[in-house]
Amino acid sequence: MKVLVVEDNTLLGKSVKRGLEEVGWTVDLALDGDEGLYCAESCDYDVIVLDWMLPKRSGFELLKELRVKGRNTPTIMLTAKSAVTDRVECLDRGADDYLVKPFEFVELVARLNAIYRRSIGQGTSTMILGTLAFDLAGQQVTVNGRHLELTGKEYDLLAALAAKSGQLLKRNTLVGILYQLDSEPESNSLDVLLARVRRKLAGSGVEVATIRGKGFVLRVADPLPR
Amino acid sequence: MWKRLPLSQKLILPLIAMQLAAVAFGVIWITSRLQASRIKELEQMLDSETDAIEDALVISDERVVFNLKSETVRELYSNRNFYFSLTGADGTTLEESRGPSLETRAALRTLLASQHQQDEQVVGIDVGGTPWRVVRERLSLKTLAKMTPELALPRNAQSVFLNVATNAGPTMTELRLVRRYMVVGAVLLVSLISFGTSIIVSHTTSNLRAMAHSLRNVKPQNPVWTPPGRPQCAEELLLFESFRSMLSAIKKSTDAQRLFIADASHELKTPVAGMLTTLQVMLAKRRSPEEYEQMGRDLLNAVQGLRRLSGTLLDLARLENQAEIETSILNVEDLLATVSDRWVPVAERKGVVLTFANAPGLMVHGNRELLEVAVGNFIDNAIKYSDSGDSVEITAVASHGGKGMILHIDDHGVGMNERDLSHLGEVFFRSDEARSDDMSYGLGFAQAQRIVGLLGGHVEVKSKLGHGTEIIVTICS
Repeated sequence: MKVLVVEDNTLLGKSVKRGLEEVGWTVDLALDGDEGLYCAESCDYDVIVLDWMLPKRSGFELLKELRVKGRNTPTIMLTAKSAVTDRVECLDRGADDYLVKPFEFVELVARLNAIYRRSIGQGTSTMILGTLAFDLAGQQVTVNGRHLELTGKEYDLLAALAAKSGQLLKRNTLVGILYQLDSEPESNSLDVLLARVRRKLAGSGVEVATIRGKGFVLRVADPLPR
Repeated sequence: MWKRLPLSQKLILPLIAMQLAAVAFGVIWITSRLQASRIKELEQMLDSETDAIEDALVISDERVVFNLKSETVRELYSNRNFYFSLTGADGTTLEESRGPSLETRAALRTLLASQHQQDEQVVGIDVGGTPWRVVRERLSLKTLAKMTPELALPRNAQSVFLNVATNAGPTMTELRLVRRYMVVGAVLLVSLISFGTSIIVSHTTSNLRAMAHSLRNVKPQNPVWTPPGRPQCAEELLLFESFRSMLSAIKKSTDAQRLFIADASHELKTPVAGMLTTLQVMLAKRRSPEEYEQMGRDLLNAVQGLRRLSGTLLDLARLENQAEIETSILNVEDLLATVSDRWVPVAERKGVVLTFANAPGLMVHGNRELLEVAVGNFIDNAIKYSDSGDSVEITAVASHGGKGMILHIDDHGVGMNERDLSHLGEVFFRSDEARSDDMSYGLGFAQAQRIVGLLGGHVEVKSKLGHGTEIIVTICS
């Protein structure tokens, strides 16, 4: 799962980034509104964590710009303002959720999970796909109830494909989801990752198909093979 | 008690009292004048009637008797309210008119006999509860002789008194009636005037009352006042306007305070959120000593930043509440030397050159500690908005004929645009966010400006984007 954190307080930004990375997310950190907008426009994030008061461009200006451009990335607002009117304003102006500073980190993670879950149309934190069961909060996958050992990146790849199962995902989109904006992954790292995931999925009835020259698609095989 | 009375009553009560006094005085004066004139009239009548009776005296059969030939005298002779008689020196009645009743005549006779009065003096007597006016006249024999020179002196004319009395009862009754009418009229008049006065006064003061009530509804959180109506007089207008301007000043101040609190809460909550998250992330799993050290250092920085912020906020709050501060004569050279010791190392770390210059022997009236903070804040900003290799010049010159000082702090850094210039001085305002790290809160300029203001000076800022900023601090004792 890929998240953009836009926060001007370096300590808070850094710690949120570190904490989210440690629970297995891919995080980009932007320190002001302009940088945040640039990031949000140049990459598909699953969720955006957005501070309200930002230098250069406020969180709301950023959000408005994004929404105008048709990007409906789920956004959770961070604000020091705790009045009801402020919280209502947050939601009214396009945020999907808000957290009042200072907040509990576990709550941020839980809310990010929930908001992400909703955005992919899942009611609970468990997503069933054929024989696979995804625990979105715990970032775990089981095959027929048996735990599937996955690294963070492997999970991200599988989850990204599963969230849009049956749909074509372009190579660039997947790279964007899996790697930070400023990192430069090696050209074949996605293929290496895919190979590992395919190996681990062998026999589960779920397969990652390659559409040559276009991208990849996750398919669930017929549960009752003839 | 008097002080607690409503204004309307304070106005109405004395007004009514004065009206009552004036009317009562008027009634008493008019009735007494009326009474005096009526009695005088009565006495004049009595005089002329006495003359008429005197003229009608004749001597017959050696006795002085009334000649009833004159119609006037005849009429008087039988008038119920009129009495005249002739009495001898011993008080015996010789002749008397027949008008009044027997009882009255008897009473009059008795009274006249006991009366010792001077000649021709009118006196009042009480006859069975009715007031009468009486005049007694001694008839000299010579006068009588003149009237009838051919006759011998009458026997009863040794010493004869003519008594004439008139009943003053009807006049007094009339006067009493007039007085009663006047009192009733006066009471009605006073009531009417009081009623009118009350209406006018309470109408005049009603706006004040309504205003006082409506002011009670003004809440400190939202000091907006809707006047109960239009002002009805110059004083009310003045009061309305004074309240309005006072409330708008309060509103301005509470708005500023609210903004300040909102800003301060953001500035305080964000680093706290940072520290909280850092600690929670730090404790979420076991880490290497290097990681702990790194996070600890980040936390330390944040705590130090918070300490600075809270300290500055408290200083600022103290400055806001300080009406006057202790001042003394300061040597500007010493002051700048201290400031230079503090800030040159900071500037050097950034590669900025600070140069200090001052007029020799320059003195200024101020508070050393506060001035060091203020000048330090200006220099801090100048360094912050300058780049490596830039210079900042601090120059102090005398002003106001040696009584004051003008301090220039000129940098050649990024400068500010018009918009930023207009926001300068607002708490938590930062001109160029990119240059303000987590350690700068946009408080320095505001604090310095308040200090200079407290010392009776003012700060002028000239700035041009890309060319630098010039701060001109004028302090005059």
